[in-house]
Amino acid sequence: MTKRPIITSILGGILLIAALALINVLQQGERVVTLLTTIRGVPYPSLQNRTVITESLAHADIELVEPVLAKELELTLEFIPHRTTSLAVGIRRDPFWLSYKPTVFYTSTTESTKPISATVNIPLTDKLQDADRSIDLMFFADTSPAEIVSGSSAVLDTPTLDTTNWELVSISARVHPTRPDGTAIKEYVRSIFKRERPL
Amino acid sequence: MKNLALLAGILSVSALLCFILRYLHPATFTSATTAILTLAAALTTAGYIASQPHGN
Repeated sequence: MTKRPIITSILGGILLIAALALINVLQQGERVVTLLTTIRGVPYPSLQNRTVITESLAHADIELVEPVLAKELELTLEFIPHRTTSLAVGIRRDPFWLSYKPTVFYTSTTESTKPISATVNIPLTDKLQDADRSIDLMFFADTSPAEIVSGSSAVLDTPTLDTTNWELVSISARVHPTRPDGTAIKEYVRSIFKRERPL
Repeated sequence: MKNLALLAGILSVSALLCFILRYLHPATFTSATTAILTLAAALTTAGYIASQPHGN
């Protein structure tokens, strides 16, 4: 029996899988962003189609339909900062619940009650992706220095002391292909082997 | 006949790779992709076996 058909079958199978993976990599478009919740999973209230965020951390899932490999997330935000001095957003990187590297998209020392738009681009290759393909998004808000002085430095430990107040008017998430750097690819491969699996 | 055997082989290998990749990283391929590849591999293999002459 000749070995040629076996080798052809193996190469053909690898090529077919590579083609399917390439289709995944080339996918792009708008993705669903779930409701913003507190870190305890309680949804933030909605007022006139605006989400009112009253804690320094706000979490949402982005439901991707492809792997994070060679992908970049483009977040388009419209928000009213009120007295918030700094707003940042990040995507979870590893199994630790607070493993985010926030990207600051707003800083100000004055109060603003008008909607402001911002666009944030975040490479996804080295980010943590759940088995259902969703990724974790977290907003980080800083209260004004005056509030920290007059209030308490323990606002994270005691949410009732948290004076955060900003509104999210709209959010849209788009993914598009990008060329990842070597470090991101290493992190992606490492995450495959480090992932906890059921026995 | 040879082509059917080759197709069955290619689909079987790709279904196996799909299973392995899904085990290593579930977000790589969906369960639907794995199921379709497995079904296609099974059908082509069955078709190839059925097309073989019966010897009694």
